[in-house]
Amino acid sequence: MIELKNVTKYFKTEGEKKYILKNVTLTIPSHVNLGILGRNGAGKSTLLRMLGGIDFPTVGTISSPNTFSWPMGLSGGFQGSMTGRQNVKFVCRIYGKTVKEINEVIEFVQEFAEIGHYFDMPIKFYSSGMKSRLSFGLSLAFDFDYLIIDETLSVGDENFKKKAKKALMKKIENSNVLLVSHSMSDLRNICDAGILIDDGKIFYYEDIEDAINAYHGINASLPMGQNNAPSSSAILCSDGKNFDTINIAANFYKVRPMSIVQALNENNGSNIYLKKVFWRDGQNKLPFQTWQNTIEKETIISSDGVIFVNALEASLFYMDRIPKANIDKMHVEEVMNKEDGISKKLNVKFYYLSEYK
Amino acid sequence: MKKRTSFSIFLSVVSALFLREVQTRFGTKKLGYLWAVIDPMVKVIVFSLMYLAVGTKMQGIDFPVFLATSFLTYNFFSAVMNNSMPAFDANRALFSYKQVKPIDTIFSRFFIEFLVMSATVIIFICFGLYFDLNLAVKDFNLVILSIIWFGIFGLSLGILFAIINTFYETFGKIINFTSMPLFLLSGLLYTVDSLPPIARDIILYNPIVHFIEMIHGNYFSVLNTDYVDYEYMIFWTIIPLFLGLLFYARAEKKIIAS
Repeated sequence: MIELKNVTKYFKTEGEKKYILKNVTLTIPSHVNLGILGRNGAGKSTLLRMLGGIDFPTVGTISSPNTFSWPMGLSGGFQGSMTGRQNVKFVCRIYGKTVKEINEVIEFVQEFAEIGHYFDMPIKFYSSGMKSRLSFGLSLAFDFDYLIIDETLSVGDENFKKKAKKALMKKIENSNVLLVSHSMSDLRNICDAGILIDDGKIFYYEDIEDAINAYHGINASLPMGQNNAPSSSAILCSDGKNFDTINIAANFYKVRPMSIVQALNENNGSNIYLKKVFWRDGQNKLPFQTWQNTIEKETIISSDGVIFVNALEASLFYMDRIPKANIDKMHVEEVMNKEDGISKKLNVKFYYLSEYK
Repeated sequence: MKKRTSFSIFLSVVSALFLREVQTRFGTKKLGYLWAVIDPMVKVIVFSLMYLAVGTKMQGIDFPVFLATSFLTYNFFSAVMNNSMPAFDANRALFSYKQVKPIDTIFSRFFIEFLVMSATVIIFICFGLYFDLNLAVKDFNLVILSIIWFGIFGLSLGILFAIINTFYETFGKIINFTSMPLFLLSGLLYTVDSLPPIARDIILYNPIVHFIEMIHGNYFSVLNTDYVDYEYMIFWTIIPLFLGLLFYARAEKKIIAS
């Protein structure tokens, strides 16, 4: 369990305060694998360092009765002038391992990390991938309540990735993970719950899927040179209904949140699939209009309301969001050609936008 | 993993840092440790020859032995005090592990320098015996005590200076500045009672002089510790230590996070 009480964290740069967290109070329940999402610079790594005990809130406290690993990131937390072996020994010693245990750990890590004779060369000669593999392998040698992983699951070749996932899954039987990753499939496979860090606030979602949706929501609402509408205002629709959030609206109309976000950001609120107009509370309602971006022959619209530049973009979109369907990047093109646009795997029908009425 | 006491974590970390420092200093630059022997050796030879040329004599003492006791112990003190300042930066990568606290690095450097001095002393003893110098010690226990106290004095200044240096970088440069004058004004090359009274009074303001006098006075039977002011030495040890630890308690998190 992790308790954050009135946590504020800011950095002073050039006399100005840059806030990472503003007065956050939150309790993260025990036995939960947590995914941490947020835009670049939102403060994910800072949060991980605070949870790992090597950085501290400016105001407030973070407390937990559990043990945490060191934050595993691309730099690995190693001393550059020492060799891999010396670094492993050092970490073992500060955790109080006996000489026998140290030798066992060295054997295990050397074999796991697959860095060959680099193990006896100084860390400063390692690639970032090697450092990550070494750090990851080393962390597996200990039993922490929480393993803190900052985007290091994606290093290594296919074989290593498989080995790492397998080892991690085994670890999860007895430990929990705090994972920062930009791979939605990793987050879905490993994490139960998720938190989203945005603009100094932390939002906790019991289901990682909701956290991912919320993350896509803030990501998509990045303005293309327009005024950024506050994400806390209600969504209104031309059929008279209103909704608290994009997610709720999307659920109601049975489309993807991306469908509504696209309409709001790229088409002045007009959603082509639903033939309705959306706008945020406080802004002006505009009349319905057709798709204002260039409509090529390849432009595709899906039955869950999203418009894609071409079949490849559509495939990639769904590969990311429904990994269990196990499609490849040619999938949407194939179903357009052979199945009349109906994808059984995704449970979605695709149309060419130029033909859609 | 079982919960360990703070102290046992401290011991694990200091010994891990100690071993790592031994590995890096011995490992990559093998000349590193040789310098610890060569530096005082050269100084002993040079100053002995100088004094021989000038004709100064110390009654009842082999002057090279006198110099060796000065330089070996002063180098220990000076190394502890000066090497503490860059200790935080040199070990910064290791602060990723929350068990490693900045002050642990200062303690581990203290033990390293103690080890270096001990090894150098042994080598000097061998040289001394070979050249048939008079190595007789008057009060061995007190000599050891004085050296350890001298080291602790260096440690307390080291902690304080390291923290000041973290926040005010020029401080380190100021301290470097003082190293030459201190060398001449610390009673390394002469005894206090050989100085004219006015010089004597002034030089006794330097706490280092008291430590050196204490070591000399307890080592050589013809010398004494009359000028050693124990109270003064205690103040100089405890007050910087108190200030250093006080500042450290408040600054630790800032040092780790920077």
